[in-house]
This record gives sequence, structure tokens and C-alpha cells, in this order.
Amino acid sequence: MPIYEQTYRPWEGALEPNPRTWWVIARTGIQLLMRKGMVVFLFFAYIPFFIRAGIVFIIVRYGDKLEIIQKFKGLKIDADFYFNSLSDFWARVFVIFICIFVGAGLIANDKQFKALSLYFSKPVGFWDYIIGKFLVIGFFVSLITLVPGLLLFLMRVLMAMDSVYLQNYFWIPLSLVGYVIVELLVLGGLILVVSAIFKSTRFAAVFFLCLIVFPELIQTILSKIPIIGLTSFLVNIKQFGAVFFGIERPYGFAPLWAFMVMAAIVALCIFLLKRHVKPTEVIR
Amino acid sequence: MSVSLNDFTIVYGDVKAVNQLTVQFPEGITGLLGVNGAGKSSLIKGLLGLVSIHSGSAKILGKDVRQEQKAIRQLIGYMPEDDCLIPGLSGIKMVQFAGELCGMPRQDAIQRAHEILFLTGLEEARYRKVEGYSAGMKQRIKLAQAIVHDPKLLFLDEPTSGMDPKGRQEMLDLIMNVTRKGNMSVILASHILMDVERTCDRVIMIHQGELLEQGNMEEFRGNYANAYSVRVEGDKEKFVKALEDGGCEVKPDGSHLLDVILPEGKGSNLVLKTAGKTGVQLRRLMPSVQTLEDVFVKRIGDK
Repeated sequence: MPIYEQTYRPWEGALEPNPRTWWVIARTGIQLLMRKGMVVFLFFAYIPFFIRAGIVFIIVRYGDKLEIIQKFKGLKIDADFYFNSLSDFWARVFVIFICIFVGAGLIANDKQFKALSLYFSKPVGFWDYIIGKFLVIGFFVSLITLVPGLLLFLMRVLMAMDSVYLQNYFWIPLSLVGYVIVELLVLGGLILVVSAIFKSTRFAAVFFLCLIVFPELIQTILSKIPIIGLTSFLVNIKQFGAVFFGIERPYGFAPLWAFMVMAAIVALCIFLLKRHVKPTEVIR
Repeated sequence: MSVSLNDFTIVYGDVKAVNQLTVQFPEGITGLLGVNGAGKSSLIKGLLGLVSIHSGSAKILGKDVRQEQKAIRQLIGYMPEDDCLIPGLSGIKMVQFAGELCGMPRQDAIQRAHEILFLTGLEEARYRKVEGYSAGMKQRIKLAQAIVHDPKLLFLDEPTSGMDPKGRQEMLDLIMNVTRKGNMSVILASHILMDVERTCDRVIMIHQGELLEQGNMEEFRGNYANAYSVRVEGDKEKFVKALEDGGCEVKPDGSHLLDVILPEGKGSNLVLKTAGKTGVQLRRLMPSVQTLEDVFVKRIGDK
């Protein structure tokens, strides 16, 4: 004999229109990935940051005392230093891998488990869904690019207490944000599209890797023809990103071209996402 | 009216999945019956805005489905036919997530998710990932995510599909409990007639995207109540012709039996008299117990 009968009770609260369903989607996605061992990955992704932080420490503390530091002319904490923290080989490798690890399954898994009709039967629109998923990638990419960059800047400013440095480089945080936004729009958009096209996370990951690596290889092989760089996503990001830091352009073509290519890529991504993110698949 | 459709049409390429359907779904539990491919799921998906509407109009709870989709989706619950799950989430997280998407405050959504999972019998499995659930548990979690925000109207698309008889029984009991206690209206799409017969107050039958028949469950049975199962020995053809001349509708039911539907106002005496006149021996004369299935099969056959 049960002590009580568990029966349906109407909810007594009132539903409010939720204009931030994208945030619910993003938060849930981030929590889910955090439980999937992202912490370990983030630890490795922070190794370059720890090395750079060490460099900042040594330069600020012992820069004028140690001869060995003065021999390395590149070891300056200037715009180049921050630009390199976002665009050097290891930074790019970690960004690509985090895009794959985080983004490849974001839409592919939803499609595989037919979850899209669940999302879209709630008050969730196309843009709520896409922004929510994009923010998941944005959070993790920022965590390994923007956050270390800002920390390095903060460390440099706080350690030296140097107002001249701050006056000269106050714009660095904005440049870091600008660079990461551009990087995210291109790479985040691409991985979302690839994830939306394939139902399999593995296919999505491999395809994305090919999309990134092959143009990069071609660009490396044919580096004497500067315009070839326009075919590489990473080269375009780096070339246009250099504008934010006001440094010498790393490649021999106008950053405007890189901007136009990236704008076209983002537009194409939106077009493809609209085609492939649908609540139900209609087989004609 | 919970839902009203006017010339509602959904087209996939050259195929009209729902063809100029004009029908009203009153409050209460309404069964949407049809064979596979009749257009039941397409109709529901069209109403929810999951597939595009070709022409016509529809209102759900007084709101236009083209203009006020988000507002409608907040007020309704939808349990899809497919195994729609949000991968990686535990049962409790999935239901909470559904509640939050519908506009519930986070704390309320968490509390309510626990309540609903208790109600649906998933309390022990609530911390397990939904991908690992059995077929029956998947059906329950789909129902749970549909009712977490206490919707005013619930769309259930084949809610007992893939469940064993005991599970089916429990699911139907649960649906009736939820709808009665929660004062919800339900549109239950199914091709399992027993489920519809057991739970619904009203039935709408569709076939090839068109309205076949609609009415209360009792009306359905009543329409075919004047039917008898008859077996005779002798000149069967003569007997059948005499019955038809007398205004009866006669259909063979297997090799020996005849299904006889008497004209309105006539009793079984007509059969007895006709047998006497035609000289056949009457071996069986029993009122046919018409189930929804009989009605459905007849109407589909007629079509």
C-alpha cells in the first residue's frame, strides 16, 4: 500500500518569454563539454601561455640585467608579442583542435539523435540555436586565445607598473578581442557548417581538418605566389588580424582582400547553415 | 477550440502530405487516426512550424501558426515520433533544459524536472545519459520533456510506439492522468486504434492527407451499431440480393459469414423474415460489436 500517490500537479509558476534561449543552449553545451575532459585539454593548451608568462616575468624583472635577453632582439613585449601569442604555430594548432573537439559534434550529434525537432518545437528560432552553438565554440576558443592574451597584458602592466607602456599599448586588449572575433567567425562558422552537413562527428572532424590543412600546405608550397595565401583560412585570419595590431603584414597581399574572402566565407557559412539546420529532414 | 485548420496544406515536392484540411480540434483528448503515411505527423509538424505550410491557415489556442510561432511553442508540448534525444545529457538535465527553453526560471525547471521524472517513472534513471535509455524509457523521457512546463495543449505523435504491452498500458494511463489532472488538451496521433479507442473522447480520421471522418467516439460506434454477423446455409446469393433489395448493406466477412448493416429503424426481424422468404437456414445472427478498428477499416476500404 503506497503512502501517497504520485500524481500530476500543474506547475504554479508563469512562463515568461525567454529572449535568451541561445544562452540556455550555450550554457548547457559548455557544461556538457566541461564534463567530457575539456579541462585536461585546456591544461595542455595553456602550456604556451605559461612559457610566455615566464618570458614576460624574466623580461620585466631581469630584462636590463641579463645580457642573454638583450641578445634576443625579438624578445620584446610589444604588439608583435601579443600577435604571435594568437597566431604562432602552436596557438593555431590548439585553436584548430579545440574547434574540432568542441565544434565537430555540436550540430552533428543533434542531427544524429534527431534532437533538432526537439529544439525547434520549443520557443527556439534558427538564430537562437546557431548563436547558442557558436557561443560554445566561442567560449572555449576565447579561453585559450583571448584569456591568455589578456592575462599576459595584465601581467606586463601590473608587474612593471609602467604608465608609459600602458599609454603606448592601451589598445592591445581591443586588438586581442578583434583578432579572436575574426578567428571565431571564420573557424567557428566553418566547423558549425561542417558539423551541420555531416551526421557523424568523425567525418565532420576529418573534413574540417582537411579544409584547414590542405590550403595551408598549398600556400606553404607555393609561398612565392602571395595571392595563393587567399585560399588559406589561417593565412587570411593572420593577414587581416595583423591590421588590429598595427604591425607589418606577414603576407604579400592587401588585408582588404583577406577581409573580403573571410566575409564571403562567413556569408557562405550562414547560407549553408540555413540549408542544413532544419527541424525535420524531408525526403522527397 | 484548441486547434482549427482552414484549407491547411503541406506539400513535399509533388506529394501533398496534407491536402486542404479543414477541421477543428476541440478541447479534450482528440485522436488523430490514419494509416502510415496518412499525413498525421506532417500535420503536427506543420502546426508547430517544423515543416513549411504550403497554403491555408491554422490557429492554435487562438494564435496564428504563421505569425505567432514562438508564442505557440511556449504554450504547447510536443512528443515526437522519432527517438529525439539531446545527446550527452542525463534525463534530469534534458527535462530541465526543455523547461528552461520554454521560459521556466532555472530553479523551477530543476525542481519540476525531478517531479515529472518521478511521475513518468524515471526517477531511478534520471542521472543516466539519455542515449543509454531503453525504448520505453525514451518514450517516457520524451513525454516528460513535453509536459515539464505544464502546456495547455499536448501533441503526442505515436506515444506508444516501440513499447511492450505493459509499458503501453502505463503510458496511456500516464497520458490520461496528466491530461485530466493538468487540464490539458491533447492531440494524439496514432495508427494503433486500441490506444486511441482507450484514451480519446473524439476521433479525426485522415487518409492521404484528407479528412476521412470525424466525431465523438460514441458517435462512431453508434453509426455502425445496427450491424449483424450472419451465417446461412442454402442459396446465399438469393439471400444477399433479398437483403439488399430490403435496403441492407451486405458484405462478405470471410467465406461463411456476412456482415449485414440494417437500414435505419429496422431490427433484426428483417433478417429473419428475409431468410424465411428465401428459404435459407439461418445458422448465426449476432449483433456485430463494432470497434474503432472495424469502423476505420471500413472507411479506408470505402475510400
